[in-house]
Amino acid sequence: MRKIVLVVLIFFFWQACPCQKVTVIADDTPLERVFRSIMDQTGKNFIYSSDLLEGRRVTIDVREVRLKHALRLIFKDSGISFKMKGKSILLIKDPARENRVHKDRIKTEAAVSDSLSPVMLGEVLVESRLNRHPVSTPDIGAIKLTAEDVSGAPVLFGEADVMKAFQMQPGITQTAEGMAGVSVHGGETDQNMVMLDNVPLYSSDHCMGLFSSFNVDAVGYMDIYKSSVPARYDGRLSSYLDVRTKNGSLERRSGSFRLGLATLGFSLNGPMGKNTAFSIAVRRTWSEVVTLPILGLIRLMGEDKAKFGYSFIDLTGKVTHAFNDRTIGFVSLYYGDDWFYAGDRFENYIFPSVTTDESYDLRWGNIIAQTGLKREVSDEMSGEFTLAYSRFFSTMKQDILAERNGDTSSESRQRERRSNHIGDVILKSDFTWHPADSHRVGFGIGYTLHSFLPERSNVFYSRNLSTVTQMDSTWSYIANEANLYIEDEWNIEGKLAINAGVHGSLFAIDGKIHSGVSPRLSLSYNPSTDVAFKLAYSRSVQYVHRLSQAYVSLPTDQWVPITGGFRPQTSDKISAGAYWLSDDRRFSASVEGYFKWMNNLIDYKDEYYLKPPMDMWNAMLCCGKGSAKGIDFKIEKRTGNISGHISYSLGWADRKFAEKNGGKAFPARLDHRHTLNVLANWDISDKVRLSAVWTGHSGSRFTLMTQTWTGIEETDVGWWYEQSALKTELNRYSFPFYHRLDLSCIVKNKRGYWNFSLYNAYCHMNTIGIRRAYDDEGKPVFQKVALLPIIPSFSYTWQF
Amino acid sequence: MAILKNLLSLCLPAIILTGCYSDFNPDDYSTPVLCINSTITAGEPIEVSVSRTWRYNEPLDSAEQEVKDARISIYINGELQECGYVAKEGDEIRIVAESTEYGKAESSVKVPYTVPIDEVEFIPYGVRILEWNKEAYSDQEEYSVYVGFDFEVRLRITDRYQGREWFRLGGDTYALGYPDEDQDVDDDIECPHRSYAILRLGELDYNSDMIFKEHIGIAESVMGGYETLGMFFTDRAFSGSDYEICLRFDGASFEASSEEFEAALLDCGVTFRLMAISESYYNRLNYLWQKNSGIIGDLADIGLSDPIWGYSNVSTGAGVVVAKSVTTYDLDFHDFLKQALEDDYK
Repeated sequence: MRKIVLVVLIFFFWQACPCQKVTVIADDTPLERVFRSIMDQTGKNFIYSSDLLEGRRVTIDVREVRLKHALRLIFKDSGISFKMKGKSILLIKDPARENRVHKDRIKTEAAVSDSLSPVMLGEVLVESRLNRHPVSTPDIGAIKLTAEDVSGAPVLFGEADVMKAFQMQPGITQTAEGMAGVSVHGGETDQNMVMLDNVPLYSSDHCMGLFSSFNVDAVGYMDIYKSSVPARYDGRLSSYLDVRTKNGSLERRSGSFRLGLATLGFSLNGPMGKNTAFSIAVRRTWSEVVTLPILGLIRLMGEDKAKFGYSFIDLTGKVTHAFNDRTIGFVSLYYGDDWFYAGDRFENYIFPSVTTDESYDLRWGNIIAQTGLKREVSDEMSGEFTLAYSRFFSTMKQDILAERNGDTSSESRQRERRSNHIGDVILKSDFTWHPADSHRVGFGIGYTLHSFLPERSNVFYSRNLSTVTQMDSTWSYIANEANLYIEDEWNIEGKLAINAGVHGSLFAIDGKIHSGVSPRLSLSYNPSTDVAFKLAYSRSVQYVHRLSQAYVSLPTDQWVPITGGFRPQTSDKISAGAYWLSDDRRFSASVEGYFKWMNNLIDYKDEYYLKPPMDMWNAMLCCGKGSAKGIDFKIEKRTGNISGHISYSLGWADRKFAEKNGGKAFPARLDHRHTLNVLANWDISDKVRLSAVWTGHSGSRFTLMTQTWTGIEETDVGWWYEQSALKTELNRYSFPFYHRLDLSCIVKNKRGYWNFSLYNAYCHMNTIGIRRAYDDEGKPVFQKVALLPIIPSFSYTWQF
Repeated sequence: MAILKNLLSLCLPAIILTGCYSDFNPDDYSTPVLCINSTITAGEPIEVSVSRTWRYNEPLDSAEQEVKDARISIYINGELQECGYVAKEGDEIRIVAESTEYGKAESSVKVPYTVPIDEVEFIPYGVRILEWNKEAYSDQEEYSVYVGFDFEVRLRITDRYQGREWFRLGGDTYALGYPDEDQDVDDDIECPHRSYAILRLGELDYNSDMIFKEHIGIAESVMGGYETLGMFFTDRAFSGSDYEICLRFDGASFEASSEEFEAALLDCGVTFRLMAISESYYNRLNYLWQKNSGIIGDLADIGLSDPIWGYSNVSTGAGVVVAKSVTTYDLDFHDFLKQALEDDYK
């Protein structure tokens, strides 16, 4: 036994010996891209203050040299010095050089150098696991996007959008034209776990899905897992998107102000004392600038007292404090809501003395409040402790008051308030242990107290001083969820990498305890440093799901837990991939295949709308199975003035429910057989960047009903001889091929940058629906419904 | 006011301003099938209509929809019956139709049992007499009146049967009505006065009884899309017991004009019809409501929700066979109006 332990220890020691060689070829290339290439080769992270590089570029051509030597060449005469510390490379301004150049700034710079330490610690502790190129990790289908990636992409209404950047990746499609909702590998929207700093965000969009909930000014980066999933994550069947917010800088204050066609945004971050930093970003629509004058005009022109308005706002704030060089604490808050209001005051046309005053108010959104402590227990081990509260809320109110001759005794009043929400109190601890450079163990434990209120209604009704109040608040549930996970990522001799783990969960609700065990395994074999072959298996368990009657996000959407006879939804996914990275790290290519089985899927039954909503929602739902399979190809040019990627996905997705489509299998709505995405960025100069995204995919599936019949006569309800559509097989019809080109141009100046975008640049009207209508001559016709034409937009961001 | 419709129209102006519709003929193959329609009423002979479906954009006139070679068989409680059979409460009725060209279709329905209206209470309030020619009333000259009022009606019923039942409430007003429309009217000559009396019930307040809102979801509750008559409901709230249905009408009016006051002018009222209906009838009404007034119908029209198909309880998916048993109750307004006018005169 001792011998075995000795052998293992020697092995670990050998693995830990740093003797890395790199190849760096760059021709006037931004330093950030050179860093990315080095990170891909070595697995190390660069830690530096955001303003340190300030557009620095480098020209270098070294092959198979020691990392330290390469770094010396890169930073020669740059005024930047570096320190290698474990898996990190710390960059700081060179005080000696600064002394020579600006003697009077010695104190300032020294202070900056000192203060870098906690910044670095913070960055280290929240480092993305996906900094390395997929060739050097065992992950399949894992992508890291930065705020720069999001900001550089073409935008709609001048609004850079995290979710729409997500949609450009292979295997991921939008759920409806122009909307932020996504389907990953043929899954449903609610099968994607969207997180903000590792805390679930239940509604990830504004304005019915037109914009995502994330203000890109507050976003640092996001990790996406769509095939193999680290054991840390569980709870959704399709994907995990973890959006990480920026930490404030300890060096100096900076910020931005942005004005787009839909919103204006403001962000600020900087130090608050020696070891504390803050960051805050606010975004709000400014539609009132248009609507208020219009309403004023309407009021001037007549006696109508109509009012209406819509706005959304989101706020992201974070305060980070370094207790010492190993411990950082933080408090963060996210608040986002949509608000719609309308009202009118008018006279009864029969009895002019009777006036009616109506007002309506809808408000829905999310709150996340969290606090955490990140601590490096030792050089090998770190931990993160989080206490968080995440809440989705939706409230709809109406108030109708009718008065006669100012006599309150003859007034009638109706007040109605309906609300639904889900609230989670989350407590969790995550630990990472690095016994060696090639070995990482992650483990953690968590508890979530869920409170579900799918619907609460409160109706107050009074007439002639008699009052009727009706309430129904019976739909509420409390659920307890506990999680435990452990995973081990091990790189053996640089050839074989393994990530094996398991996530266990318990979900207690209504006196029942559901359990889920989600094993995860990823294997990677590197025959050379540039090539990897991978194989993975992952299982996921989902306990909550969203009920939505539409493809867009509505305030009436309800998050509900599994109750009654339903069991947790599960998916098992096998994926395999091959990856290649060119010698100079400029090009990469990958192919990933997957096969996914889903069980206990929950969906609305056929004709669910015939069930009264006052029934338990379970009465409208049914349980079934699904499968998805496909292959994703991606070729990427990663550096140079022209960069981008081309991806192609071939996929199938189907469903089978006993109470849908007569029990026969049918294609999923987003069963896109072919999907092709092309993204190209061209840095014309330091100040101008052009981007283009072309998206094309097979049309979505649709239940097209061509046959018609006439039903019984209903003379007293105004629906005489209603013509009804004859039911056919679900999703049998496929819309025409969808394609669209989006363009954007970023022009930088001294104070900020402009973003000019064209959505759907060649104005191809894509079909999103088919409806029955009548032509000008009154003849019944089928009509294709198309939504968004070419939409130009621009925004300006002022940076300070 | 439709709040979500406002929201939709605000948030999706692109649909209205920039979205577009283009005619097209989908290359989707489909074949016509048999369609059976029948509204069976207890106490009346059974009538069945057999037709066929057609492609929506290739419309047929009603003659072309007929299936000439259709053979119809009606089974009552499992036994084949002759034409002219009068349906009875509790009958299990199966209708089978066959055609050499369009195949076979069948459907079953049970005729529900009548639920009587035991008692009716009429509670008027907020009476406004807006036009009242007192001189005419007393001097026998031209008389006209306009009475506005709100009222509440409480219908007490006894649900004697256990198990789920479905209902529909309907009503018709009766009054003298308008004069004969065929009579020539020339504005240039003095026309003889024509008596008329009209009763309007105003707007039913669906909040007066929550059973009317059973089929209305949270979205529709706020969007207010239930202005279309839809008084169909189930006995979920009162299965097997007494129940008092409350109907509240807002803005009812009585309007009459005549050369002289006649008591018969005030002869008006409402005939309430409480129908015990089959589940298929309830589903049919609910489908129509959802499609025409519900939010999913609106969303489906612009491609943002799954399309909905016509509810059918026929094996081919075309047509609907429903059954009902009707109870009526006449609520007369004569005494109420007379008393209101006398009170106002005093």
